[in-house]
Amino acid sequence: MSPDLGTFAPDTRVDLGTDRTGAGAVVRAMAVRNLRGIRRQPATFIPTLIMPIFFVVAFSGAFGFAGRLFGNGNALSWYAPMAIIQGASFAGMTIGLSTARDFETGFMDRYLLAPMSRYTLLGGALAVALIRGFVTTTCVLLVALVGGVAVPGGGLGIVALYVSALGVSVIAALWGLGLVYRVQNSNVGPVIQVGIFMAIFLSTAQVPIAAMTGWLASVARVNPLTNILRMGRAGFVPDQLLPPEGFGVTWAEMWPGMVALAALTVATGVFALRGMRHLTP
Amino acid sequence: MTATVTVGVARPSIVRQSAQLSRRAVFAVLRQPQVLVPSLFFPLFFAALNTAAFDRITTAQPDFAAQFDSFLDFLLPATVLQGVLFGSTQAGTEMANDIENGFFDRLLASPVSRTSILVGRLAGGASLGAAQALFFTGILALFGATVENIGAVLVLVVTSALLGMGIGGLGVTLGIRTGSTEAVQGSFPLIFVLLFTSSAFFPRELMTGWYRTLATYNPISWVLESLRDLQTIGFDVTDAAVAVGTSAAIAAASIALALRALRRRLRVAT
Repeated sequence: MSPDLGTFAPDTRVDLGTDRTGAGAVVRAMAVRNLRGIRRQPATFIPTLIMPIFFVVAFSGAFGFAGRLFGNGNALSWYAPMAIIQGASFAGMTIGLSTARDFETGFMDRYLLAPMSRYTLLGGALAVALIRGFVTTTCVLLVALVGGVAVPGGGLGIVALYVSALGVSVIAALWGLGLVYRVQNSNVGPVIQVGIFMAIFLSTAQVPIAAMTGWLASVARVNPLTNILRMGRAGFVPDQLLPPEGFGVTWAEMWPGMVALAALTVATGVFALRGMRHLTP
Repeated sequence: MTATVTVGVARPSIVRQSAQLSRRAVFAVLRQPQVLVPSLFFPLFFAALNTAAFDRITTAQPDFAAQFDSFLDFLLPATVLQGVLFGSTQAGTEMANDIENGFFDRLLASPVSRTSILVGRLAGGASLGAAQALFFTGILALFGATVENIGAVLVLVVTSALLGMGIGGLGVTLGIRTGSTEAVQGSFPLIFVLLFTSSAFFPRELMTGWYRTLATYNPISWVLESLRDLQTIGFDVTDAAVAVGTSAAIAAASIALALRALRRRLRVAT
């Protein structure tokens, strides 16, 4: 007859301290870690500030003579919103690159072993994209204002610019993450950069559609970035499609940009989420 | 009994050593198409993009239209130099890579001439620069860019080779001093700034203010404007001398800097 050991068996349940942390706390912790990375490796972030400022200076210096073409006689007002949105896209793109570094250093494996939802990985990255995009947008905007950019569209124009810039930052981050989740190393960096670079430059980034010739006008017309740039520029230059009463922020300038932002966010979001399937075997 | 063995270690001439190392530098780039593609793709992309974007604005300016049939004509020398400058940073990256992976130390341990290590690397950059000049000129000519005379193409090729050596030399200097590929790659924006603050993409006559002043004193503007005159007006010895002379001066200065950096590194190594 076997003895009843039930009463003698020790309690093998050990508290491993694995209480699952709330998603908000994880996202916050990931954001803080990523932002600390700026202090540790400023070289990864500073170019996202310097390049847009350089673009504003270069383009407006070179095409100052054609000011009338840009609506209000000031090329700076045309190029500053473009450079700000481009800077925000660079800020979003760095999220993909820093995630690629996490894959290479093995830090991503530690994230995957942690008792947290996979979606918080994406949430943390997007929170950082928004913060970095905000910092870049604010810095470049301040430089542009000091440099003489006027905002006849007022506060609403500034809000439209921030919405455009932060939206593009999120889209760039999702595009980068979607690629990085699949390739899982930093070799994918040039593909991320080329994709964003081409999307921006094949729009009305440099000149209005009316000034373009040949194939570029056709591409820019269907490029969603054209509508996003239009929304971002709403408070800065008179609208090219709604003269002459279109100076100022109007709903007609805003809604195509919002639709484009929403569509691109959904498309790149699905791309990133499907990429997450590659994270676990 | 004693046997005497003669080991055939006749040292090749410095020219031959340099040629071998130059060949290695060229093949190192050709074996990595992902390295070569950006310096071929981006200049062509920008040429197509900027022509479509700025052709109408610029050809509406009488002074511009008097010399150029299209913005593509204006962009031809700039596209060539853009490709050469982007590609030549690779020389510095490869040098830093050699230092990082220990190949540089193996070269130092071998009986190879120290100068040929540098000459080989820079000659490789010059060869690639010359090849890129022919490639870009051929492609843009197919799309309608005008080249008035063969002399202009020859000067363009020589200038590209010299600038490939000159800008490559600056990258090599940085590579030798830091031994870090990241540091060399981090210097890439400086090339971008050098090009953008010249008359590469925008006619200097149409610029205004301090930006124009900056472009006026940028030596890349001198090279480009001479090349444009050769390309669209006709062969002129003064233009050729300015383009080749300026590029040669940049090359000489950067080789001097690279030699100094190499001597310093050798002093530390020994």
